[in-house]
Amino acid sequence: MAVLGGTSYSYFRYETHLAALNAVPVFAEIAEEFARSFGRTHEAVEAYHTDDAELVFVMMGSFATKAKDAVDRLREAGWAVGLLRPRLLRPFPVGHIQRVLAGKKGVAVIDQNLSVGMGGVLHSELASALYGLPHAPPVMVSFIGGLGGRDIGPEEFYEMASVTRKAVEEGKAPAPRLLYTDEELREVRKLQAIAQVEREDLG
Amino acid sequence: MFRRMKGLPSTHLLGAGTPMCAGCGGLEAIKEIYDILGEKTVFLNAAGCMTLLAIYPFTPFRGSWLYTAMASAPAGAQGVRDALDVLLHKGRISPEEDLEVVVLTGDGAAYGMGLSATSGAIERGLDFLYICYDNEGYGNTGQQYSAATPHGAKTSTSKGPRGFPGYKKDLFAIWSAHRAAYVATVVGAEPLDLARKIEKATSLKGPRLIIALSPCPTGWGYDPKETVEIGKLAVKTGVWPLKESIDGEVVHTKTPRKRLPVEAYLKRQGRFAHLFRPQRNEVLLKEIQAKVDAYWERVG
Repeated sequence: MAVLGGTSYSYFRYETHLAALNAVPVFAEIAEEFARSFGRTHEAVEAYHTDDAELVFVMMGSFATKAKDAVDRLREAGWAVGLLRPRLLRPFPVGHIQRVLAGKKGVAVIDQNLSVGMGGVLHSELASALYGLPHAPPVMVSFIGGLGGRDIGPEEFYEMASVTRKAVEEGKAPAPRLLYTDEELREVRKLQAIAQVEREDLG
Repeated sequence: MFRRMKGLPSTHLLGAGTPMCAGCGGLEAIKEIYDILGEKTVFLNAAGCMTLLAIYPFTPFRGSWLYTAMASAPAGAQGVRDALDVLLHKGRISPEEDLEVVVLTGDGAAYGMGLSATSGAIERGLDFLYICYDNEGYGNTGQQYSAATPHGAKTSTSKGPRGFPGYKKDLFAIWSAHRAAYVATVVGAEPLDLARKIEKATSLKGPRLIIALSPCPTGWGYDPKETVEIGKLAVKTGVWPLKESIDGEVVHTKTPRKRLPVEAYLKRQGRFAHLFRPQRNEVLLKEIQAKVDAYWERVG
């Protein structure tokens, strides 16, 4: 069916939005049914060791399993950290996220994307979901990593936790950071130098 | 006008060390074409094998190269041409600094996915040169058949005993029917014929097409060292007619005096091996030969 004209279109667009919002409780219902059939639980938002956490990593996708591992290691070292892993982006489970993050001291959002001209998408979504909330975490730090299949190493999770803890102590979030090592930069510079020489050889 | 092989450029503009397969017939043709086109060119490359030519920070080209989605290279060419025209109009570049806008795509885009955008660009009279490296299949993704795959060829999506059931689309005729300024077929193995056609194409304005048959060792199944030989055989057997069309009038530029049987071309390639082993498929071989004979009789 074609929906033509501003009046009809606005109506349908709004109805679609309301229907999408209704999908949040439906997701929980289906997830339960899935768990009964297959024995695996996939909640709209997975919260891992968040109850007693002061700092929380927020991350989406399969790379979040790396964050889980990092949480385990950091907890062994005495850090009160947790992980929040949204499985839904639309509809965005705002209520769940607000409940889990309320009262936390600091949040480290790890985006595996870079929306050019703005920054990490999940970071923006989260900021929008938490803005104005009375118990919103006072500090939210943005990290960009894992672009183009690049790995995110355990030491980088440690680094992100340290940066976030420091930001909490200072009460001020630093500028968004790209996870990129000196070695990687050297590698790219090396390729650029080779390309430059090739260019000169071409004449 | 190039008269002899000796007159062709002896040094090449295109840089070496690209990640193309050894013996790539497409690269062979592009290399020869680029020498005649010269440095004042901007390439619009639709997704395909040649996408891999320019991988940051490396490029074998002397000038600009843009990468577009598979179906969009002619639309990209429109944008670049318009931008150059605006710069010319405003005096920001001189006529000597103007660039030839060159679309570079494989047959997947030229014969199939990009045909609609191509038709639109010709209709608008866009001043551009379209180079299609035609290796008769989606070579970059594992040689699935395309609209350019010849009848009977085995591809990864036509594995049956009779190979590809369809027939190669006549892109030359489609462009000619649009009354394009210039349409020509070439093959890297015939560099003099190729050079003359590129020279002619660059002397004209408007939509122009060069279809370069691109023997593909990886997709067609033969030893990379045989690329030139197979290209020559395509011409000698009459399978790949070298021709050009100016304003709808077609001229054959290199007619094989005595055509070799198509078998001479087919039996050298793994994609036609099923026509010969375990036993000869006389019916299909005769059908392919008859198609080629009928073509030459028609244009004779």
